[in-house]
Amino acid sequence: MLFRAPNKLRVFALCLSACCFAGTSTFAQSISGVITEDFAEQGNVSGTLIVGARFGDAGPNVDLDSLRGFSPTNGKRRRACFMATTKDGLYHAEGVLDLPRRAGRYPIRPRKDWRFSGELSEYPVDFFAALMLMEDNCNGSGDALIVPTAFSEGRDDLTVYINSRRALMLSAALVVDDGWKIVGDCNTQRDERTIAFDTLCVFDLRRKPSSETMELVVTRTPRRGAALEEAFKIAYPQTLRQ
Amino acid sequence: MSIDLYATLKRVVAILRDKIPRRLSVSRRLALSILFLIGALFAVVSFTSPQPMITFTGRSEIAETMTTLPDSAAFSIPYAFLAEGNRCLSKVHVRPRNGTRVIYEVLGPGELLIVLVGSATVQSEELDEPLTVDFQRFIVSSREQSCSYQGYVRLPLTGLIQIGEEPANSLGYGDKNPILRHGRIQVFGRSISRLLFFIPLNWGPFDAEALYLAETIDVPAGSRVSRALDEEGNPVRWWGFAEFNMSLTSEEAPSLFLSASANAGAVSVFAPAPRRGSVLTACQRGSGESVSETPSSLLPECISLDLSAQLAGDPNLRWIYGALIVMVAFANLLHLRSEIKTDR
Repeated sequence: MLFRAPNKLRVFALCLSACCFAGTSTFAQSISGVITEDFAEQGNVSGTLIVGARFGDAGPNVDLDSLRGFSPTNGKRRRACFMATTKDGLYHAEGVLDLPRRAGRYPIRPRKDWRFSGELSEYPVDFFAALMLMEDNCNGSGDALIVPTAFSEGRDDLTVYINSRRALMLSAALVVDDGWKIVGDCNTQRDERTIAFDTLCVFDLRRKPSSETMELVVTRTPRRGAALEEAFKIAYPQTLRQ
Repeated sequence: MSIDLYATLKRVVAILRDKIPRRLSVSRRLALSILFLIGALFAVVSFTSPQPMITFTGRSEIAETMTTLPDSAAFSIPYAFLAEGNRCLSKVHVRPRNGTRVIYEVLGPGELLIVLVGSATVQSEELDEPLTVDFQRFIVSSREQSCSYQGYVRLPLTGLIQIGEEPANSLGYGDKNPILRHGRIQVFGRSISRLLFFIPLNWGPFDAEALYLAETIDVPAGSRVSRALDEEGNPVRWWGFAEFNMSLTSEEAPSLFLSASANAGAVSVFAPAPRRGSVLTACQRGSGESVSETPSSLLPECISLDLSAQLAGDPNLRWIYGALIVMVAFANLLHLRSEIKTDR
């Protein structure tokens, strides 16, 4: 049918199909899934130690449209768990995301639009924590690979949001490339309401790690008992090394 | 004195006669006069406000100070365990240095934890010479037979203090989250010392910078009482003490009794319910521009001496109100009398 059609119609059909494919590929070029959001009257206490991780800097306030996630490595289509919260614990979001097969940086898009983007646009970026966890059942396993999010193209630093759980002292370090260690600049700020997290640790990543995963070691001194050391795996996506 | 008063009265009458249109009724003229005088007082108080004082009294399971004056932050305990090594020390004297955090936390009946985060000097009978530490945890207990103390422990609560914690997860699963059980904040004003910048108010019934109670506010349980700030928004030092009864049978829910005061204009309180509002309070005005962009749910409540409480509570102002009301009423009576005479 197409071959018998006049040239103009043939060109139109080709253009239409090209646009359709382009649209489909654009839709696929995102990390999407069903995200449950809540903006509660009372703050939720995060049960996890690492509440958020972010590559690069960001604008002054939260812009969910520019929130990006990473598909860390090439491979078959995978799933990741998404979590986000604000420092006062009032905003909480979680959901399962489908990651594109191709490694890269993609926008995080809920199936329905973000419900509370207006409320969150009032929050400075340092008061909003988000991360992805590479696990299927989203039960908050400490072994799951943490994939940081990003608001910008920047790749020179990593900010980790920590719920110190009233630790007297806290330090954090990234161990990369078989022993090379980056000590984080950690700052516990209590001038605001601190429900979901209270500490931000910034790591200088100007010297790029060569491996795809780094180990985050957090050492806390509790009110009672000996200091506790916990280790987490953090992804350093291929995209950032290029 | 009476001559001055009579002269002033005559002058007020003359001003009122000139300024207020004659066709206004007496009651309206009186109302206008009072409004004018209240406005003038409002301006006087706004420009000559002496520093208020804020006090906190209450019971909490946790309190934290940051040392700003080592001598006032030093304390002694008869017996204490070193949490590291479980070593018992007697006649312990601790002198924290500037910037050192000192945390008091009730662990349970008859058990108090004292933590030093930062540099401090520790002396005791068991130590040959004073020990300088950068981090130390002491447990004062009435449970341990060999190292027990059963009286009252009184500790300084000076410097920059925080009382209570937000409800957050504890580090260990068995730990409870220590909270502020109840507290009361009282805001005291100090009476104005001068009228119109140059008339000193320290004669007759007036008393310059006399303390008066302006407001009393009960703080909800689970709150965190935080920074005290002066009028410019700078942190202000608290002065007070924390007391703990080591007796095992004294209370069902053991807690520290706390009492402290600060020459501050405002104090921040993180109440369990987040604040909803968009206006900067006295606690944020001096903290820089960035705070104005912060959502109010992150920010604390602000308890401060407000102008209405000051206008209503200042004893010197009350005397001035009385005198002014009498003067205005007398002036209007005189005017009324002259009008009646004119009508006749």
